[in-house]
Amino acid sequence: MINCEKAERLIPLFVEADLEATEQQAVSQHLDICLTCRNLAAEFQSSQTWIQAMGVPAFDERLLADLRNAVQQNVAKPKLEIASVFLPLWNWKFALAGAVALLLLVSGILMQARVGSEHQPQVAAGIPSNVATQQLITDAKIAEKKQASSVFVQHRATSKTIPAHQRKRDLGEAPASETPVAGVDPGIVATAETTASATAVNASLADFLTLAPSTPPEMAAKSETKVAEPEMLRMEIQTADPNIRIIWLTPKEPPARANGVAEPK
Amino acid sequence: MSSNVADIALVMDQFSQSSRHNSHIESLIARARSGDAWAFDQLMIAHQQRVMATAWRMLGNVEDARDAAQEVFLRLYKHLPKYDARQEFAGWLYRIVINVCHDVARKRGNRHASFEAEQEAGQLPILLSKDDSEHAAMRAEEQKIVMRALSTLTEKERAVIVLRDLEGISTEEVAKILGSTPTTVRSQISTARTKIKLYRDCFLKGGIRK
Repeated sequence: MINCEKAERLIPLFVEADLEATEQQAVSQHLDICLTCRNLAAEFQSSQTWIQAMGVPAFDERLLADLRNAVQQNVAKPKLEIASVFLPLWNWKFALAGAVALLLLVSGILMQARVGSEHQPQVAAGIPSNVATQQLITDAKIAEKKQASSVFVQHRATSKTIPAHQRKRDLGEAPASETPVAGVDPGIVATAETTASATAVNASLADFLTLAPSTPPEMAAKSETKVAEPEMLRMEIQTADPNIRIIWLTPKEPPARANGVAEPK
Repeated sequence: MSSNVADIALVMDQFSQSSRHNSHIESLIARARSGDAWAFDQLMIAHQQRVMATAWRMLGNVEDARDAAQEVFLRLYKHLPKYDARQEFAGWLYRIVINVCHDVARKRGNRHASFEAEQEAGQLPILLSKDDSEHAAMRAEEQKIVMRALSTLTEKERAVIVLRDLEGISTEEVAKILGSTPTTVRSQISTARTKIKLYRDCFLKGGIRK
């Protein structure tokens, strides 16, 4: 015997005999003794009668004839569309192979374009990159040998008298006065109209000069006698532009640092 | 005794008619599969009412039902060579109808069927009835309410109710047509019948306006 809760759950199916035989029997027995569930079953039965009384719709014969004609026309129409021509050839393997080939082609074209753009400036200058670098190193060495004594001494001499001016010119800044510096070859010093690369080199040189201990001009003579100047290395790099030459002055050994000044890392 | 004999004779006659009908359909199917246009046309004539009625009950309006029926017959023509003669043709056709109706319902999105608009336009199909015009009007009103009740169901619930309660197909056959299990179908039927009853109760109590 089933209880009301289970009977209520089964009644929607009981009214159309959609239950298994045992369940159908169990619900039937429950309805014999339970008035509430019997009323519920009657309501469901009435609802079923109501919906089934909807009847069979009869559609207009002309509508149906039009429908058949439309179907027959579609069926009889020769299908010579592009898709139908290529459809038998269509295969997912072909599609995959085609997609991979297309991808490779596009990536190859992009790579070629990228490599070409990297080589283009050096080719235009007519100097391959490794040759250009070697040439610059050689020039720097020759310049160092030739001017090690004369120019370096001149630099030291000028640095005593007009150190700020010399530094500004080396940094590519416009000097306060345009008076030429005696003993300094104007061609050796970089011009103020530097390129971006020259500016970058000057910036690093400026860092070095800032970190180096500054000597006031009045103390310069005194300090020269007591403290030995560090031995300097001069490097000149001729850029692609014949008007621009980069000069790099750097001590061969790291200079002694003043107390309280942090070592550059 | 004579009554029993008459009943048996009637059942035998119906069985004989059904058997002849089935063999006739099978013959049409075989000819249509070999490309006989006349046989395919006859096949459509034999099933057009049923297809249209099911599509209309599923979709709720004549225009969508006609489009769906056209698509059903096109699919039937396309897939007829794949039809396995061991399975029942009607069940196979119902499966196509339900699938097409789901596609059409999905395409039309949230556009609900407007039974009132159809009724006003005189497009509602006439119910097969010998009733007089007054009774027919009452039936049309009832039909409208029933269709509204059906529209409260989900697509799957509507499909099981249309096939089981309106087309009179057994639960097991409905499960086969929908590619489901009888248990699932029973559960859906139970839910759908409860919803319809609740809708009707509300209507009878005046909670829903005509």
